[in-house]
Order: sequence, then structure tokens, then C-alpha cells
Amino acid sequence: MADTQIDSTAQASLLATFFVGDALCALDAAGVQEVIRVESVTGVRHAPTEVVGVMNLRGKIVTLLDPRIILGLGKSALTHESRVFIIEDRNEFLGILVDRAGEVMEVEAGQEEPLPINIPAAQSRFFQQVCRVGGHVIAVLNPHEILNESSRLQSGPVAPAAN
Amino acid sequence: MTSISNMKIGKKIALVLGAIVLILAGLSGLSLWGISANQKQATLMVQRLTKARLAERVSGDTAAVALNLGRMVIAKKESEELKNLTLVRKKSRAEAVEGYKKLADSPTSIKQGAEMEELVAAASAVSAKGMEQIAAGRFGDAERSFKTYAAMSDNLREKVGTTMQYQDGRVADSEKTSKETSSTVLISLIVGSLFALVGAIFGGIVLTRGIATPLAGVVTHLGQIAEGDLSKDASAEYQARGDEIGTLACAQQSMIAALRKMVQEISGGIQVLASSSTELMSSSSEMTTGSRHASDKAHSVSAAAEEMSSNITSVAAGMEQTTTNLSHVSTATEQMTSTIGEIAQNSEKARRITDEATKQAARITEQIDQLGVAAREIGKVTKTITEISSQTNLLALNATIEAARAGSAGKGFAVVATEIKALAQQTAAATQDIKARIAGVQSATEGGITEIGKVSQIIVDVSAIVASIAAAIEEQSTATKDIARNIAEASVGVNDANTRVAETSQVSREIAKDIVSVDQSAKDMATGSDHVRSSADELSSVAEGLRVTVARFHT
Repeated sequence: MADTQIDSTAQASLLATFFVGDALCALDAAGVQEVIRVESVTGVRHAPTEVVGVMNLRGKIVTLLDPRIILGLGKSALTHESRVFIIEDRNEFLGILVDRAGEVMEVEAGQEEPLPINIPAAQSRFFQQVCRVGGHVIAVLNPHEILNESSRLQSGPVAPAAN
Repeated sequence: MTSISNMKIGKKIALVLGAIVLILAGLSGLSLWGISANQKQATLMVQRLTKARLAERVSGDTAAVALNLGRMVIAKKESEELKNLTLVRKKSRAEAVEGYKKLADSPTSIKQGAEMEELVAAASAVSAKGMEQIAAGRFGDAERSFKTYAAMSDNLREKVGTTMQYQDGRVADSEKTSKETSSTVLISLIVGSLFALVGAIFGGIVLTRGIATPLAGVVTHLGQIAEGDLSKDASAEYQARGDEIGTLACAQQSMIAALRKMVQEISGGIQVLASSSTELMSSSSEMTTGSRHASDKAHSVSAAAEEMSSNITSVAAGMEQTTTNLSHVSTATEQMTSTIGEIAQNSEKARRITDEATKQAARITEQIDQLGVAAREIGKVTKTITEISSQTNLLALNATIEAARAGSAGKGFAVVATEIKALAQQTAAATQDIKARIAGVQSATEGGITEIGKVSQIIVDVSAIVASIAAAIEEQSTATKDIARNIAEASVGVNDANTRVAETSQVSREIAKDIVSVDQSAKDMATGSDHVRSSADELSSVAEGLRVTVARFHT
């Protein structure tokens, strides 16, 4: 899928946008399984702070992540506008908790721009690129990095228990 | 002598007077005897003289009968008149004979009476015969009868003369006896009177000795007492006597003792009198001073009373002013009462209106509440619509994503999804609009409720204010009535006060008058006390005189 995404960038791609705080962020629509409402969340003890909990999506276990904590923006508050973007990574379902769902936007080739250089490296690895669509500046998140970060963070405290 | 001395004076006098009375009684008895003897002689003399006169009448009557008879004989006819005269004479003669016989007491006179009766009877028979002869016309017989009768008449006259001489002699005897009795009685009276005189002189001497001499001694002693000499006692000799002289001497002695005591007491009394008169003098002086003081006080009181009178006059003027003011206040109070009545009516109306407004506000509040409820229900509906649009939106998003994942095959589906999304967004926008409007309605409703509540509160406040105004007006009305009543009472009180002031003025005038009287009385009292002092002076001198007088009595 990542390949197709990369492939599609050559001509045109669709971005599923959402708000994290005030920031308009996006994920590649092709990587998104579906968007759901936040329903019954089961908390996980001893989980990293960015893991809000786990959800049951039609029999599949979805781990709910809070990108704000990952991006160092503080904890998200659950509202009736909160949505969960379901993505699949290595046969594991993850849910990205966002404050509000946006629209699916079409990005023409050439509308992508590299990240500004003044962003610190520690932060910049979570972003794929920045798009300029209709006056909006959309930060396209890199789901892999987020998942990696999550895994790294998860492996930290969990590792001794696994070993 | 002692027995006589001890005899009571009454007894002594009775003794002497009794002796004299006995003598006089004897003399009186003698006199009575003499008088009765003389009376007896006088009666006898009268009887004898009567007998003599009767005899003379018999003789006279006989002579008269003879005369009548003779006249008829001479006339030789029977005269009715002479006959009647003859009958009268005969009757008189018969009465005289009867009277003589009744008075005849001695044998001599009885005998003479009988002789006279015989003679008269004989003569009467002759005369009767003569009368018959005359009546028969036998005047010769009658003349003879007349001559017989005349002889018998002469005989009778002789007899009567003898009788009369006898009776005269008896009268002379009686006179002689009477004279003798009178002389006897006279001599006896003279002798008895002499005895009585002698006895009276003796009794008088005895009585004088027994009574007058001691009385003279007592009088002398009393004279000494009158001179002031109380030192001598009454004579012990006289005191020892049992008669009235002894009693008198004892009484004199007790009188002397009483007088001594009295003089001593009077001496003490005079001293008291002297000191009392001195005190009276000083008291009267004080009284004079006091009455002058009282007069001064009365003057100042009089001035004060005059001032009081003028003050009362000004008070009366003030009271008049007060009365006028009170009547003004009364009028104003009446106007105020009517005004307050109108205000009370208006406040009652206002209360009714505010009640109505309160009820109206409550109804409006209820209706607005219902409006709010309806708005909330609409809000619920919009929520549902919003939810639906949100879900539709999400569904469109997922459809879009799904279409994107399908690549070019999903392009048509993507268009539909986009349309759906647009509809959902419009729905959401419309819903938002409705929501906003509903919110506006709700807030307006709430604002309206709040405002209505405020209005209601204001109405309640107004009602409360009106109620308090009504209460205040009620109080005002009560207060005004109280004021009116108090003013009425005050008016009555002021009238009373006016009356009182008038009375007070009257009283103060009377007081002024009384004070003048008091002043006069004080002056009179001063004069009186002056008199008292002069009287006390006189009393003092009288006490001095009394002291001198009493000093004459040496006890």
C-alpha cells in the first residue's frame, strides 16, 4: 500500500484531513481503512501515555493512539467531534485519535513541499510533507514513524516484561 | 336658863305666842258669849214689840169694822163697798190674832191672847149679826148691834192697851239685861288684854335676851370680818349652844375658815393674774407685731394676686388664640380626613389592579415556560438531526476514502459520496442554523421569563408598596381620626381651661378681695391687740389693787 501511495504521488493523491488541536493534518487516504466515532475505550494498564486504550471494531482489536502526546501537544480531550482514523500496519489495527475529521482533499502533483527547515529533527520525522491546498497548509503525517515511535515507546517499558 | 338657851327659837316664840293666843281665845269666847246674850235679848225685844203692834192692829181693825158698820147704820143702807172693806178688816184682824197667838210664849201673853181672841170672836159675831140686820133692812136692830159692837170694841181697846203696856215693860227689862251683859264683857276684855300685854312684854324680854344679844355679838364679829380681820374665831360659848344661835356660830366659824382659805387662794390667784397679765401684755405686743407683719404679707400677696390676675388675663387671651387655632386645625384635619379617604379608595383600586397584573404576569410566565419547553423539544430534535448529519458526513467520508482506495474504479462512487457529504454538510449547517435560532428563542424565552419575573416582582413590589401605602393611609386615617378626636378633646379641654381660667380669674379677684379683708382683719387685730395690751395693763393694775385689797385680810 505504501508503494501505491508513493506511486500515486507522482500524479495526484487524496488526503484524509483532520485537526489535531488547531493544526490541519492529514493522512494518505489510501492508507486509511475507515473513520469511526470514539466508542467504548478500554484503558490499558501500564501502557505508554500516548496509548489511550483499546477498542473493539467488529471483532478486531484497535489500539488507540493520541498524536498530540506524540507531537508533544499535551493530552487530547474526548468530544463528540472526536474521531478515530483506523489504519492497518503489519496486520495490526491502530486508531489515530483526532479532535475533528476534515474532508478528503485531492492533491495535485507539485503541491507538495518539503518541511520547513526550522522544524527540529525530532519532530520532523513524524511529517511526510506539507501540502498547500486552497489556502490551507496541510501537514501530512507519516504513519510509520508514529507507529515506530509508539512501538519504541511501547518497547521501553514493556521490553523487560517481554524478555 | 340653860334649858331655855338650848330651846329652839321657834319653840321659844311658839311658847310666848301660845300663851298670848290662849288669853286672846278666852277673851274672844267671853265676847262671843256677850254678843250671843245681847242677840237673844234683842230677839226677845223684837218679838215683844211685834206682839204689841199686832195687838194694836187688832184694836184698829175692830175699830174700823165698827166705823164701817156705823156708817152703814147711819146711812141706813147696805153698802157693798163698805161690806167689802169690813170683810178685809175682819180678815186682817183674824191674821193679827193668829200671829199674836203664834208669838205668845209666856203664860201672861198666852192668857192675854186668849182673852183677845174671845173678845174678837164675840165682836165678830155681833158684827156679823149687824150686817145681816142691815142686809135685812132692820136698821133699828142694826143700830143696837152697832152700839153693842162699839162697846165691845172699846173693851177690846182697853185690853189691848194693857197688853201693850205689859209688852213695853218686858222690852225695858230686856234692854236692861243687855246693858248689864255688855258692861260685864267690857270689863272682862280690859282685864284679859292687860294680862296679854304683860305676858307679851315678858316674852319679848326673854326672847330678846336669848336671840338678840348673841346676834349682836355675831354682827360685831362679822363687822370685824368685813373690816378684814379674820384672826378671831367665833365665840365658843355660842358654838356650844344647841339652838339656831349655836348653828349660826358654827356656820360663822366655818365661814371664817373658808374665807381664810379663799383669801389665801385669792392671793395666789392674784400673783398668777399679775404674771398672766404681764405675759398677756407681751403676747399682745407680739400679736401686734405679728398682725403688722401679716398686714405687710397681705399687701405683698395682694400685689402678687393682682399680678396673677393680669397673668390670667393674658393666659385667657392665649387660650382664645388657641381655641381659634384649634378650630383651624380641626377644619384642616377634616379636609385631610376626606383626602385620606380618597387616597385609601385609590390605593384599594391600585391594589386590585396590581393583583390583576400579578395574575396576568403569572399566566404570561406559564405560557413562556411552555414556549421554552417547546424550544427545548425542538433543540432535542435538532440534536437528532445533527447526529444524523454527522453520521451521514462520516459515512460520506468513509465512502470517499473507500472510493479513493478503489482507485479509478471508484471515481463515480466518489462523486456520489461527495454529493452526500455536501448534503450532510448543508443539513448540518441548516441544523446549526436552527439550533442557533432555537438557542436564540430559548435565550429570548429565558430573558422573557426573567423579565416577566422581574416585572412580576416589580408588580409584587408595587403591590406591597400599595399595600403599605394603604396600611400607612389606614394608619394615617386612624391617626387623623385620633388627631381629630384629640383636637376635639383639646378643644373641650381648652374650653374647660377657659372656664377654669375665668373661674381662676374670679377666684383671684375674690382672693384679692379676701386679702383686703385679711389686711383689714390684721389691722383690726393690731387694734384689738392694742386694746388687749391696754386691757392687760388695766388687768395688771386691777391685780395690784386686788393684791392691796387682799393684803387687808390678815389671816
